[in-house]
Amino acid sequence: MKRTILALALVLFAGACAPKNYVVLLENPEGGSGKVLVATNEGQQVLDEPGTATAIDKTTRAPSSPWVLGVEKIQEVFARAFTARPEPFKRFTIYFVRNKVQVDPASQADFDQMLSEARKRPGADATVAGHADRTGPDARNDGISLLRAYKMRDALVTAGIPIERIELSEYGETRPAVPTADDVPELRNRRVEVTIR
Amino acid sequence: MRKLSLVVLVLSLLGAQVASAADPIGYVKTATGTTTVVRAGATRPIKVGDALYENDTLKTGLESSLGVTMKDGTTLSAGPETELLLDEYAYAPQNNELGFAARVSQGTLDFVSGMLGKLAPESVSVETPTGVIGMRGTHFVVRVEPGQKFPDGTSARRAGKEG
Repeated sequence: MKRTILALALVLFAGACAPKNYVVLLENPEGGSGKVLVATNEGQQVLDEPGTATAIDKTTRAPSSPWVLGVEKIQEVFARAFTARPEPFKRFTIYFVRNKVQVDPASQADFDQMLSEARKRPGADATVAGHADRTGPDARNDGISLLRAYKMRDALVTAGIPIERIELSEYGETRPAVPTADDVPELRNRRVEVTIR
Repeated sequence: MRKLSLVVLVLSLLGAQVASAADPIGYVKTATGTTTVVRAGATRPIKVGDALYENDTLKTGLESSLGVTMKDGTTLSAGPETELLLDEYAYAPQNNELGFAARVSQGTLDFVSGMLGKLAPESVSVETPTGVIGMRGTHFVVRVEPGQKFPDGTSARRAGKEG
């Protein structure tokens, strides 16, 4: 009799572990984890412990109390979704020689890394934003920040990203990384910010 | 210096036009097996490098998978027999236009939030037929059994939004 009850309990437990719909919080790819809030018409459940799940089988029932789904089960159900996950985006800031559309020697390594990232990513797309420091007239800075952005875009195109997948913007001296007085040269503001996805 | 404010004004006017409906909101990064998009009522195959637009419905077949990266860096990857609607999407931090609403009507989905999850987590949601998932800068997976309807009676695609 005891054995029957135990067996029955196990069956019920297994049943409870396989709801129709559920959400599982996982660790962030870069480590750490956030929270998810899962809500139905009848209530909500917060998951804040990686590996825990909540079931949402009906809109008319509150999400279940969290339970641990188990690494093997997660892998079994989501294996293909995991394999298909794209790489996280990468950001590069490339600095420029004063009054020139020329990459500063200090940024050469980052520039090379940016290109190798562009080469190795299938279906890569990018955002390129050009900036200038506050030396010289505003109009000239608009121009030079645009030319710097073009230069990075051209390099990315050479590295294999189709031009139509690159979004380009230029900000002149209007968005300094480091605020300065007018006409102050500042390497950290003479830059192009590149995001590769 | 007086010119600076004019430049800012012009740039912000330009910026205001950025979020037009014709702009891609993301791109396909991985695809295996049968992967399609339903756009303006027509179903067509979709492959690595293809652009995605607001209101696209992505579908994977048997033994198939699809991974996409949105403009803000959010990644969504779907396992087999998954249907995912990119319902609403805005990523224009300069204009404070931020938001993402997706719908999974069936299948398995891995979701890793990007900049939107950092800048405006409360504006990001993934809807399933039986509940809504909100997040605070996070990675989660969701599984939805096929054959369920959303409370408004639709499957993944919203009635009246097509075309």
